[in-house]
Amino acid sequence: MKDEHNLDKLFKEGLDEIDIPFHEPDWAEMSKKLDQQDKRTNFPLWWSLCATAAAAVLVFFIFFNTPKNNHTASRIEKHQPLISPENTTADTLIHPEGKKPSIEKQAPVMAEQHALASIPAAAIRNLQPVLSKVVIDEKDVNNASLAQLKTDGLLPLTLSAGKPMPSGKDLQKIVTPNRFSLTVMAAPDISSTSSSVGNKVSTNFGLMMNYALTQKIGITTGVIYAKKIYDYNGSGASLPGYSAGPWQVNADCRVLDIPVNINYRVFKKRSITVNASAGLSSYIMLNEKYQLTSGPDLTVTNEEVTGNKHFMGIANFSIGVERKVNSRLSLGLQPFLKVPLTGIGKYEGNLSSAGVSILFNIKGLSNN
Amino acid sequence: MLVNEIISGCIRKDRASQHLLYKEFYSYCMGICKRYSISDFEAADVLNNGFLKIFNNINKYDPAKPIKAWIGKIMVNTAIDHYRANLRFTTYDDISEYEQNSTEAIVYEQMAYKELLMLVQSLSPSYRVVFNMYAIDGYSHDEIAKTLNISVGTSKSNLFKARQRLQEMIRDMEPLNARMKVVSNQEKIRINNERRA
Repeated sequence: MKDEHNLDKLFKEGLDEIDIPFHEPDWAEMSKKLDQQDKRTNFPLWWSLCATAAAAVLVFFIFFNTPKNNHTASRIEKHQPLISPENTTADTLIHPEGKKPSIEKQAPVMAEQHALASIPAAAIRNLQPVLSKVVIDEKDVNNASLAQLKTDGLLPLTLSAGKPMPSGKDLQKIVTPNRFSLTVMAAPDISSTSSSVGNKVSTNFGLMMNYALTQKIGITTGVIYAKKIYDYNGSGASLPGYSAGPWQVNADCRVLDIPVNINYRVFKKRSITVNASAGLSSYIMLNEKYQLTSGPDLTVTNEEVTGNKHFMGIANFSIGVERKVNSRLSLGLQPFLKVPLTGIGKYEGNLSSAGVSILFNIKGLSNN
Repeated sequence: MLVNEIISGCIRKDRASQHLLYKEFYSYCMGICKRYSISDFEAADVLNNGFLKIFNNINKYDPAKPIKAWIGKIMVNTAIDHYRANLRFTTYDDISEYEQNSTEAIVYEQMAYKELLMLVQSLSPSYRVVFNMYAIDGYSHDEIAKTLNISVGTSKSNLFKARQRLQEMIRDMEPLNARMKVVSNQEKIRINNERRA
């Protein structure tokens, strides 16, 4: 045993507290490492969001910017000035006798929901007698256009050829825009904290309901099931005694994210819409699994927790680009950022998420 | 500049202060890293990973405690982390091989740092890490077992093997190194008696 002690002592004394000359290239490497870390810390969230938003806009404009439906839409806009309270006659709406009343040309006048919605009630009353006389003959109707009208929610789906156009209340119903829409979303995101060790991709799925307060402003809420996988450096290196805190925390959480966001339509051209939104999310932590690597002995312990809730504890920011596929469906890409206003989960991690939602927006949910 | 000022600068992420802290503790930390590593290259890598942890966590350092101990602990942990990360390259011996069979007493005289380091670095990673942790950094077998996720028996076995290997290497070095002697028990007694006289 004494030999062992001597051997240990020999090495302990001989290897401890040795004067090793400073080697500048090692600092150069260290400096590089610090630079890289700074870049990583500053880069990921905002820059990746901006880059993704730019990419999303590009992709939409390059690959999807030749929609067929646009003809109708653009013509409608040209027709809008024709309708005014002072000059609403059958002539301005219906082509002279001898020409077949083409729904394609007339309907758009009614078709643009928001255009009609802005017509004063008096004008609608003036319009009623004219419209009530219009009879759509099955033979004259361009079936495709009628179908379009129906799917646009302008003509009731039950309207069939040969019946008079709706009048009075019915018409007002028709011209009231459908304020509700439904969004199905899926989103990969990266959840991270201020001292993340590495970034891992998590997934989100959700169902959202949108309500348009005005043409430009809307409110969105819903439920998102989110899987949040993240890790961070713990406080083990710094706590007195060194072993009290974890060196690293690996977290795997299942979360119900209930957002309430206000959306603002920043831009609309043809079938492309750009929205900005901000709001607050509440997190209901369904299940939190933590793996803690603790202290100088790097012991690994596993923990499972349930029941934490963070009411309105997360701020949401996003920019979305949507492209109308048809009158009811639009597809969207929405880069987003979730910033915690409070510590999240049992260990109150400073958990933020950044990702891109893929949205399927279904319109035409009537509020009548 | 006082160490406290350097630390404040490091908290502000001031690169010049980080450089000063790095320089100040370079020798001490490199000493730790070298004995846990197989080469200077690996040691420098571990050193910088350790300093990265230090710089990232320096705001949590308690100024009431000695900074050197704090830094040293982080450096040892980083070296152990590095070993764990490369575990697939190492093997452990079974406890059954553990038995004390040393018949020789060795008088160790002063050996140069370089020679000692060379001996430690030439141990297999699993022997080296246990020897370092136990003999130099003062971990118990229980702590080593938990840290490295091995049994206490394996820890003891690896320590024994490490010592045995070191002794063998020292013995082999003897013809070349006059500062170290391997002597029999009898000779050792004689030497001790001479010293007493």
